[in-house]
Amino acid sequence: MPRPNSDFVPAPLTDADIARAFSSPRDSIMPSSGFAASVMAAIAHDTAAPAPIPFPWKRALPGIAAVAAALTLLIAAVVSMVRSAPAAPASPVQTGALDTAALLPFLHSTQDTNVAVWTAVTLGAVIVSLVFFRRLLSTR
Amino acid sequence: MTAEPAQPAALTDEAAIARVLSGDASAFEAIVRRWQAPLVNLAWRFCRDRTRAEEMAQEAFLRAWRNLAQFRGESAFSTWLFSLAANVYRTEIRRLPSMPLSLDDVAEPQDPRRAVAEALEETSRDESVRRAVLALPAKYRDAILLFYFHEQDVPAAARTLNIPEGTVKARLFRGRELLRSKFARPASRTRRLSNAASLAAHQHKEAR
Repeated sequence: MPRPNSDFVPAPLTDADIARAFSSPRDSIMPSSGFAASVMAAIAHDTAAPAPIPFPWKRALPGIAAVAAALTLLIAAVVSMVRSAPAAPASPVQTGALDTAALLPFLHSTQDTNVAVWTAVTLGAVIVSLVFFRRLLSTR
Repeated sequence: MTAEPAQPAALTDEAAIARVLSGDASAFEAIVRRWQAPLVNLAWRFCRDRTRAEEMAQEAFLRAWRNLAQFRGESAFSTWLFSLAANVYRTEIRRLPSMPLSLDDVAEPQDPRRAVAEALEETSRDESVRRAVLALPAKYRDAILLFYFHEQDVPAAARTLNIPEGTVKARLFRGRELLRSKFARPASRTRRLSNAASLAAHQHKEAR
């Protein structure tokens, strides 16, 4: 019998203690009586539920292809811009003389060549997006 | 004389699986009835909450139902089922821990009255061990839970956890070390209270 003194310390934990804690009859429960029926009901519900709607790849493919093409065009436009950059006159900001009149030729030279491309790309992207989403939302 | 269809409970796992895969959903009941107790008990060891254990076990059965076609028969059906269930339980426990305790909380709860009450109500040491195991880092907790669930069978625990046996042994060793270090602390206030509670219970028993 344990003695009621102040230096009473329980025995250190042993493997047997752990085994007892997990193998005693108290450490197990019985499923409730309706458990199997509940599982079968859940399975019946799962079976009755409609299959998840698959992503409409067939409908989406043209849109995806158009977006990919637009992206390719965009990248090509950026690359061509970068390549043509050295041909442009030096920026007045870089030269130190910040004059509005001096800026105009620079702006014209860098913008005029690309405005048409950018407008076309933007319009194309908008049209492609509209067509893509209309196609996705339309009934079969 | 025509052969009557076998009752669900009388079907072997293999026969039940074959029937389920051929479209007879009711045959799955044989599997549920045969394995409900082990699966609920395993879930109980992970969460210590009966309602939640049954919910987790139901989720495991549902997962088994959905993935039954993936069972190739390369291992025993029970191995496949326990492995799947253990994965479900670990995910559930990670998502919503059943016991928001750290290992320190197990030995030194904030409210001494609560510790005394718990010690009197439960078999304090066993319960402390179980709570301490649940508070271990997941990999040690899982190894210990599965090892004792499989009646101290390392290969079975390794198959369920889908890890090598050596890893299970290493995790068991480290997990036990952590537990021992926890329980080997100098007598704290909680431990003294727990001891007092055990002593009181013992004296009460003797008096009767």
